[in-house]
Amino acid sequence: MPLVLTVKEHGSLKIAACDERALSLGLVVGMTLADARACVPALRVEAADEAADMRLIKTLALVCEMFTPLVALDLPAGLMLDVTGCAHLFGGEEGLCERVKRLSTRRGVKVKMTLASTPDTARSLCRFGSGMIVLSGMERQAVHPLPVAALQAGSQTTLALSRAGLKTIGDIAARPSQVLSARFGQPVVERLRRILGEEDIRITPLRLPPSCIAERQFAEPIGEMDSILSVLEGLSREVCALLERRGLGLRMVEAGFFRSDGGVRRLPIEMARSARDPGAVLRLLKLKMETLGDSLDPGFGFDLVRLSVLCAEPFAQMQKSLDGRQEDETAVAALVDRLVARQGADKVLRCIAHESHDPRLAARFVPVGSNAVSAKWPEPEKAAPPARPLTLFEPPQAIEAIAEVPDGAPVRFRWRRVLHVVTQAEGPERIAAEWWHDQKARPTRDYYRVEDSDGRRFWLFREGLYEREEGERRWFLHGLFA
Amino acid sequence: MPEPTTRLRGRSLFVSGAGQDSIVRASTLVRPTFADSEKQANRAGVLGALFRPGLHEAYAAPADHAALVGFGLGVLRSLRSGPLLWVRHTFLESETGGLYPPGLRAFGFDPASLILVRAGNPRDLLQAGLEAARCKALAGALLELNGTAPIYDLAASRRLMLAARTNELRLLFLRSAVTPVPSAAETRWQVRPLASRALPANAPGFPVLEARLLRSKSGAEPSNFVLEWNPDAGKFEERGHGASAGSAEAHTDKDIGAAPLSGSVVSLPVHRQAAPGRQRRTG
Repeated sequence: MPLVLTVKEHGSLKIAACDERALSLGLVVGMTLADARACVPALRVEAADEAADMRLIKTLALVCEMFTPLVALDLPAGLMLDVTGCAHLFGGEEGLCERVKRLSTRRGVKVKMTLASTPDTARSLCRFGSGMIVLSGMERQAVHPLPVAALQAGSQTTLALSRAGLKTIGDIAARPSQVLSARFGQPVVERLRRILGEEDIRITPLRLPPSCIAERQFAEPIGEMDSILSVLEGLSREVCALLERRGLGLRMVEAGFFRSDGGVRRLPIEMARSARDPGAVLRLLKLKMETLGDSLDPGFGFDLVRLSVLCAEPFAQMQKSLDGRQEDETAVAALVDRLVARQGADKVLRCIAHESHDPRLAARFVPVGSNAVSAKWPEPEKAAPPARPLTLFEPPQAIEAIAEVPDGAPVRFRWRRVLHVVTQAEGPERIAAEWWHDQKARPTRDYYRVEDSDGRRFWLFREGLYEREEGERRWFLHGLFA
Repeated sequence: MPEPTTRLRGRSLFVSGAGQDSIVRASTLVRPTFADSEKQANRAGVLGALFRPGLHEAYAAPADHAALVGFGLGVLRSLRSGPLLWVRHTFLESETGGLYPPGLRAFGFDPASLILVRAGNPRDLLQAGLEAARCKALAGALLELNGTAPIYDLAASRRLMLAARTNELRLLFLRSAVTPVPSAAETRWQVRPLASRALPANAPGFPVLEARLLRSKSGAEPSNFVLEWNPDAGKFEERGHGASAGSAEAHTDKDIGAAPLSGSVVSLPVHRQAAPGRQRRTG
């Protein structure tokens, strides 16, 4: 049964995609479902899942990273690969196309490919022509027969062009560009130049190209852990040697494992400081592999193993100091690396100060690898008890409190259904919102440091000022002191 | 194995300097003298000596968790300087609030030397603790866990203990909302906050805690320490040692003087307001 995918548009279901059989029966994308049913009564209809499409194309993009590090999405259903200087690794351009085709067939995706000198030429040839390899210098000839729609200048411009009697790219290219730009606008001329290969703009890859790469391709897929590890060891040595020549050290490395059936596994690791030790890289990779629940799962084996340095930084040669401080720092950095590899980069944090009198904004935790800069921490007051609590509730916890006078310190409060009797209190410390913030959204807070009859110390505040600010006066518990 | 004959009695411990990075040095075979100040120095030294490199446990009721945090931070801080690894169970964020760096700063700790690990489950927590125990360069590591953790058994604690002791590192395991289970820890403490000595205008004074030594492998008998935060020294000291200037109540050193030097110590009387709800615990 022919299959179509539908999407709801302006209250009616329209066809978003159809399979080969549906196409052969005359159904097209954009048709309403009712029309399609009228043409072909026996129709299998499913709802289109854009998120799943996006996932698929992103996965394919990752798979294609085995051919080149520069892969860009070309939505809705395309990938753009910059294979400059890569083709010879796969047996020339024909070999490369063959490999891409084989990989995508294995993933159950039918593809059409064009290889040309510039991205725009390739795109229009692929979308509006037949898949092919355009030899360098032959772009003009190849694109001339394409319809004007290949310009992708919008439906109105396309219509205007065809009304003017210009049916193909060749027709447009034969006109002087001044006339075209005067009649249809500068963008049309620009698009034309790009399609003709006269102007070459580079693609914006999905991910930043790594600063260096070492990889191994295998004639026969490998799957044994020992051989994978020894390959990784060789690769990390290669990468470190490459970086050494440039005077750099690595901060972020990613190991990519490309399975022969088109699966990709990527293991990123981070170093707390610029490093050039192949042993450390290997250790962290091993740690990372251990944390994977289902191991690396080579399936039928890996075709290609790659180590890419995503982030490199200048590497300072270290001289061992006499007090061993340098070694300590290195040891802590190594510990952080291990923790990040095992727990995840978002779980290992350091704190940075922010210059703000608002207690909520005064500090925050950032991943240990982040390059956020901390302000100076305020000096603690020597002769006074800690003015700020050890732990802070965010958001503050609502409490019921009773004060002797409306704007005085609380004498009793109830938090988490337990009544606390205040025996000692200090305050208020009045903290207003910063003036550039909306005063109504953030009323002034009167903070009190209190101690209850059990010796527990709390940081409470009353929101809002009596008679000067609108809204209800409410009490909150914000933090706990030791 | 603890040697039953080894008691803290008959060992004197000197505290060199009183700064944040003071080194606690133990010298044996010096009989203690009974001058008041020395007694207190000895007691402080006892506390330092109890925290030998290795694994230590401190327990508290859930409502007293903040006191537990203060105790752990204060103890580790006073024994060695350097970066501190803090592994927190994420559940604590909602239970006792997130760590607040300005508060740590006010407590005399430099937040820049803190590495915080948020562990989602006890397994990750112990894993991070074990990694920390293998790193000699740390000042120490604090593990903080709320609730029971069957994964933390005798074997797990022994692993932590051995790693920490081999690397001369102090690992402090802070636990609340749980009853102590058998473990290989060097010492086990029970911590609760005590009423502070009010400052003028009835303002809450310096934090005061009671740390009760429940068990010690070195053979020290269970005893009570009433610890008061000394901001000048940047550490906890036994109450009465560094009397704060602004003490509103006339404070006597009688409670310390009455306490035996070491060994079996009765619970120290403490100045506090008698309140009917004293034994109540919040949940």
